[in-house]
Amino acid sequence: MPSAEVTDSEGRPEDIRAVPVRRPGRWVAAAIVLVVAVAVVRSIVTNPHFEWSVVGNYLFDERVLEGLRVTIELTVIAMAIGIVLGMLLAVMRLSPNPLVSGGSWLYIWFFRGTPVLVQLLFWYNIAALYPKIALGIPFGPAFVHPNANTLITPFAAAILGLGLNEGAYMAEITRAGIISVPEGQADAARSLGMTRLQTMRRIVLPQAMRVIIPPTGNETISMLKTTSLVSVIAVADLLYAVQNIYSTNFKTIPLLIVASIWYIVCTSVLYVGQYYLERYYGRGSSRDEQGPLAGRVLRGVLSFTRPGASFRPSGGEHR
Amino acid sequence: MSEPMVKAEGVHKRFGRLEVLKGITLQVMPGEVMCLLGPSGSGKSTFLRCINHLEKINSGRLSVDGELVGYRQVGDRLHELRESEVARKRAEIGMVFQNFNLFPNMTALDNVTCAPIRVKGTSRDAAAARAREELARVGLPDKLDCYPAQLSGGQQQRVAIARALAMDPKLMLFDEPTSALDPELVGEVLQAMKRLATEGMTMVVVTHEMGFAREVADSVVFMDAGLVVEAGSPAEVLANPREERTRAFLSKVL
Ligand SMILES: Nc1ncnc2c1ncn2[C@@H]1O[C@H](COP(=O)(O)OP(=O)(O)OP(=O)(O)O)[C@@H](O)[C@H]1O
Ligand SMILES: [Mg+2]
Repeated sequence: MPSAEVTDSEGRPEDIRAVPVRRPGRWVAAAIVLVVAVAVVRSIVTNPHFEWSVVGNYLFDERVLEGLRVTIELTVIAMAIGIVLGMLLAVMRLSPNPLVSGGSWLYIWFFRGTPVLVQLLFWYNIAALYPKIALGIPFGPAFVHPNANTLITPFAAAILGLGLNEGAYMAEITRAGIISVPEGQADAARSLGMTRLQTMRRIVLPQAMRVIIPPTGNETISMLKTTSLVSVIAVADLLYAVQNIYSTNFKTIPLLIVASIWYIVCTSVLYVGQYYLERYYGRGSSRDEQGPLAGRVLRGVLSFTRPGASFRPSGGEHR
Repeated sequence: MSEPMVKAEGVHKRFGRLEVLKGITLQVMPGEVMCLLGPSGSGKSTFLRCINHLEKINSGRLSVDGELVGYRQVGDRLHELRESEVARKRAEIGMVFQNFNLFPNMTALDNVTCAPIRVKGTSRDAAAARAREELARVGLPDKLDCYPAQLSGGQQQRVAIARALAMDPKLMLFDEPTSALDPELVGEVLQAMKRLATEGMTMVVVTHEMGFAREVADSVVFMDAGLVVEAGSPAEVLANPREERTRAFLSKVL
């Protein structure tokens, strides 16, 4: 078929301009979403029981901020333990030694099989189980044997409960990442003289990160909220702090809103962190470069309302 | 006469109950280019992988540059080498794979500098300078900052060759380096290999490129079902094969 090539002033073929397909369904859906959103916002703003002024008063209350600090600290430490432990367990699980991989399997089986709240209570009451914790040669003499009650403070119990439990989940996530890397990568690394450990650390794990990071972000967000369980073992986290306040002034709803606001702020920060981590470990995975986060979000929104270019009769066909 | 670079005597390799190599005996002298031919599944890749101990052999003797692969002989007993010792020996043997196996998360330059820095402890600057040199020699001086996904297959394979050469190997193993390439990209990779051969590198090349074998190889080995069927100069094996199986195979690939 003959096709007259349309060129612009500089002689390059002109981009296609066409009327976009009409999508009435989208506009109806958008209208419904908008109406619901307005109704929700209206009710939130006008319902006096929300007591927004109280929320404002307590948002930056010293006790609340201290609780927030504890929550963040718990999240960071427990996730750090979980990630390191998960990596260790994942590598163990892939070991050719059946005792090593079996041990890892048993750990994962146990910690995934029991509720984290139960594990927290166990650690909190560990002194009842082992009044003295001894550090020394197994079955041999002990060097130090501190009292369990002084060693396992509520905070330590929280860290242990959350971190050890997280390790089991991170192990499975890490393992999925490791086995997603083609075997040829390890072959290439070893043929270059890297040891098994170097191959894992320098070649396999960095590539596994692309698969590991999205669910790890998920886990971190989940962990941030799971830390609220520690209020049952008297760790003064964010939830515990607002509970303490509303148990005296009975402003329950506004204080729960204060806690929710801080949880949402933290998870939002995590979203941004995850985006940049993903981009860092996604290097080389796509041919075109990606722009910064804000630009991409903006483009996503604009692509919905972008005015369609009108059809200009140009008399040519574009291939 | 000097010692052979690769010496295999009755090398057997089993995967479970499947016997893949059934007694390979051959020699590669320093500076020699040997082409390995054979039908699919005959054990060519497996044999190459045994040479740098990516696979353990089950019986026979295999040595590189006069030293046993994977073992040390003390008296009449063999001791397994430690992992770090195996790795050190592998570092002296370059390997190029059918599907390149470049590290996709690193630029071409980083692919080439990675092993010298991590394995040999070369400084970053020295490794980068060397990498630029090697990449220029395979004709890619302007692709240093490209990721593998941004390179054509032929370019990727040449980066892989540069990556292996940057370790100063004394022996290069090529496992069907051009099989995954479009026909028009095969030439550029063979060119790089040819140059390497003329510079005196010892090479074992598994290939179906008969032109390359005829022109560059010093010796050709035809394998089938885990055994060496025929070995000799390209003129002997390719032009006047003695064995029926060789003739049948050649008539198919030529
Ligand atoms: N890791 C492994 N486990 C089990 N069997 C294997 C393994 N690697 C190779 N094999 C088997 O060994 C045989 C020889 O394989 P090899 O890859 O060495 O053949 P090849 O001559 O290189 O063939 P091709 O030309 O197709 O690459 C095949 O039957 C293959 O299925
Ligand atoms: Mg093969």
